[in-house]
Amino acid sequence: MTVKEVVGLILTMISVAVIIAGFVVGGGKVSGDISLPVALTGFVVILIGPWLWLGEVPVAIRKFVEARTGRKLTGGEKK
Amino acid sequence: MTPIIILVVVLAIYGVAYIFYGKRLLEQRIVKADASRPTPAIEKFDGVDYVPANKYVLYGHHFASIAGAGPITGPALALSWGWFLPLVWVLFGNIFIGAVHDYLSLMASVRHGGVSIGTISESVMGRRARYIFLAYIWFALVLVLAAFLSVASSTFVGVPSAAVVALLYMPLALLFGLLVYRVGLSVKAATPLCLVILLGIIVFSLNSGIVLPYEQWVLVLSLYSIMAAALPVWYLLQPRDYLNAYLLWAFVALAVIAPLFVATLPLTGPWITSFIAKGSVIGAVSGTAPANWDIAWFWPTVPLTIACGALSGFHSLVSSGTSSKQLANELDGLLVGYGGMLTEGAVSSLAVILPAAFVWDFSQFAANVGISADLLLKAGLNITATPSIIKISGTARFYTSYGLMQAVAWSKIFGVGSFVDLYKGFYTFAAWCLAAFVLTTLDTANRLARFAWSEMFDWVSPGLRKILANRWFASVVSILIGAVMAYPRIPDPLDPKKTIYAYQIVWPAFSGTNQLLAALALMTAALWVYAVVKVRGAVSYLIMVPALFLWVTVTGALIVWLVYIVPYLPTIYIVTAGVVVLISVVLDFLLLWLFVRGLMSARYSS
Repeated sequence: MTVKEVVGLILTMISVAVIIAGFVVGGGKVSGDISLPVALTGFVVILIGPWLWLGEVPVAIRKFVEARTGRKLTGGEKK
Repeated sequence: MTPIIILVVVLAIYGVAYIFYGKRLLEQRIVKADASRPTPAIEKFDGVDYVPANKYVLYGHHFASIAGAGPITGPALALSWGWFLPLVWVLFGNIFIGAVHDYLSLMASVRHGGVSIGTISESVMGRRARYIFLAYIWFALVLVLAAFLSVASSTFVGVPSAAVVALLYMPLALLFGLLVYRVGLSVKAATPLCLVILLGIIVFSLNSGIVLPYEQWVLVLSLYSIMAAALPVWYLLQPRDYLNAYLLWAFVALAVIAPLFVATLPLTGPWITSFIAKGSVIGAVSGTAPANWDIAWFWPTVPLTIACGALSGFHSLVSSGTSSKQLANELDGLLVGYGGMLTEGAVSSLAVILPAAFVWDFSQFAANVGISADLLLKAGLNITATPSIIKISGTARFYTSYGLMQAVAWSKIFGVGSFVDLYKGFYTFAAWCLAAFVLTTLDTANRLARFAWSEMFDWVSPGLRKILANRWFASVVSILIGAVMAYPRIPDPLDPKKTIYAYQIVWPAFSGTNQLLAALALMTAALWVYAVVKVRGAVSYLIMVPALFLWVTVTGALIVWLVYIVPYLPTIYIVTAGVVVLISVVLDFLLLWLFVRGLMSARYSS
């Protein structure tokens, strides 16, 4: 794994943990000082983690496009 | 008149329109869609914006994107004319103008490499038209961003459970995207799995919430909007909107099912109250004299009130922005473009107008369905103080009528004792759906603003263009301006004791700019059909005539605004919203001239 992927994986795990903790602590109601971190994590950070971890061009679409165009895609894609 | 008649007529009209007007005429005779012709999603595939999608996923994504608050708030406000006239306009506008406009914008863009309708205008109206159009589009989108940031933030403050649903949709969308595009699971297999989780989210959200002040929501949603605009479309936007569409389809499905339970009971609302309503119906600022004048003539001002449910310029941007870059096959275009718009029409006609017509007069409604005034009072509705739906203002008019109709229907199964809980539950569900509509439009709007911004700067040096068109930079610029307009409160010029959000000063002009955009997009599409696709004769008039009708209607409505409303606004409104309307009218005639020139040129060159 590259550094970017490791950072992405860690961010993903932290995001999931923060969201779960936010709801568990308040018994479903997220309020007070914890609200902003939970909202920022749930709406923003959780999107960054998997993006860094897994990359931009997914294998399933790449195969589909290669089959339709008959040309091998190069650059940008992963896996 | 009974609910079952409205339901059957509406569904039959949409079915016939889809098959005969959509498939036979638009797809087969005019556009001549061809499955073997590669689409931009395939030819220009980049994994970020140009990504082929499953047609049902794209249909859900497109529908959730085009359906903002408009299909709900517009018809709810238009009830001032009675229920029949808004229903007729929704059906007529939807089938002959709105859906045609959406489908042709989509297909014209697909044939032009996935560029926006603004850039397409260059091929039929010249280079000047392109830059005027793009600048106008970008400005309209910034206004949308400001307004929807504000509306979504206010909704989350008012209904904290709606924020939980929206937040938990994020990991769910990521999961769906990863299952389909990385693991290679089929859409058919991934969908039920995610829907089960979604059901769990909904149940969990009923008793939960995220409490944040308005300003912090603006901040969070602005950052979210940047991510949604810049990240690969398959990763968040497309799966999120697709899964969100299930919530919205459930909302429409319930609106179709409920009338079956009360099929033969009479509607309590008047067919037509008047052809002329108060100026507030067409957006005259509350507190000014024109808001109380009888100047809202049904025609030509109706498109200023009912936008998305019948036709909306914003849709041409979605069609020629995000959707055209994801269409995997030309034959998928009809379901996405034409079908998406008919579905939105169903939201207006069946989920807003029909319930309102049914519950309109609360006393009569209570007598018809056999519930007491006390029961309604327990549900929070005092029918002595508020005798009819028309006395309720804003989005509460929609929540109330939708909630009442659903509660009456389902209490026939669960017993009248459950009426109050059912009403409150469906009232909240309606608020969730409105929030979902708004949020899915907000994130798509910033992506569209990024496209318009990037297309505007094709004339600068390559080095500068690399910076200006960078997806992260372009995603920040528009939302930043939108947030600056949505964030601060300023003294209300009409009542200094009150405050309003800054964007509200310019917002009254939005309905006009948006509908003018629709007229211009349809004229561009009509010219594209005539000059590029080379469809001539009677068939071409089926596009040309509605395009010109829409131009005349919107121009008339803008002139009513300019003459009757703008002069009576406080100065700050005149120099902002008033100037925007004035510029819109000038552009309106300028683009008409370019349209006529383009038409003549195409005619003589052939």
